[in-house]
Amino acid sequence: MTSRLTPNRIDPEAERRGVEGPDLGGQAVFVGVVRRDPVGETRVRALRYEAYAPLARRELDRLEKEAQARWGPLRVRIVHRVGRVPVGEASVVVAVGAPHRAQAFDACRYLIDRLKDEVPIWKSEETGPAARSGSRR
Amino acid sequence: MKVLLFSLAREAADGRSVLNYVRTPVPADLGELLARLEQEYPRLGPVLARSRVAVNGEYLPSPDRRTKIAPKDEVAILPPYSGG
Repeated sequence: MTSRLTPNRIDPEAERRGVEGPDLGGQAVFVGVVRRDPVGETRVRALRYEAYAPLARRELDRLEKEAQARWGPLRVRIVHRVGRVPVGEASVVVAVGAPHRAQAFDACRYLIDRLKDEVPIWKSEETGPAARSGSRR
Repeated sequence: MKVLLFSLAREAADGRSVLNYVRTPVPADLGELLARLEQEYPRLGPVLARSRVAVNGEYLPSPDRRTKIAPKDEVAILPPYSGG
């Protein structure tokens, strides 16, 4: 299985390369990125993610198996970051390589949607003054 | 018995992420454990009502309060997920 949790920065391009294959004519990559949402008078500066790792890994593997059964053969990489993730960095990448584009899009969307509901990962917000981050453009 | 508390459950338990129940009586089933948690940390009540439960890293098939748990078990309280 090729899905994982990592405390390190995720490189979406590396994950896309991981789902290449000579019989796979379509790749879909979803990248979830931390936004600087307003929170009252402040803004999000970073998100902190925690996971119940043993169960989270098993659930990621299970979702991949479900996608394989439905749209396979696929190549799948799901990577979710844990720990502090600053605004602008990826918190999650779902990469799918499939024979054709329809399976790639459908499986990618299915995996990110199910991940949010079914994998034991939680976020919390770290905020900072709105003025400073707001003036940066 | 080791109890793991994540996210909102940890916040409701004054920031404690691990509870150890070593002295008797160690809760014998899930209902006793949940009642004890709520008694010790009243703010946990509403969180427990919305949480999934795993024992030794496996979801309980149905979180029946009569499910037996053993002193060596690790029970995880899993509030609604917010990954992604």
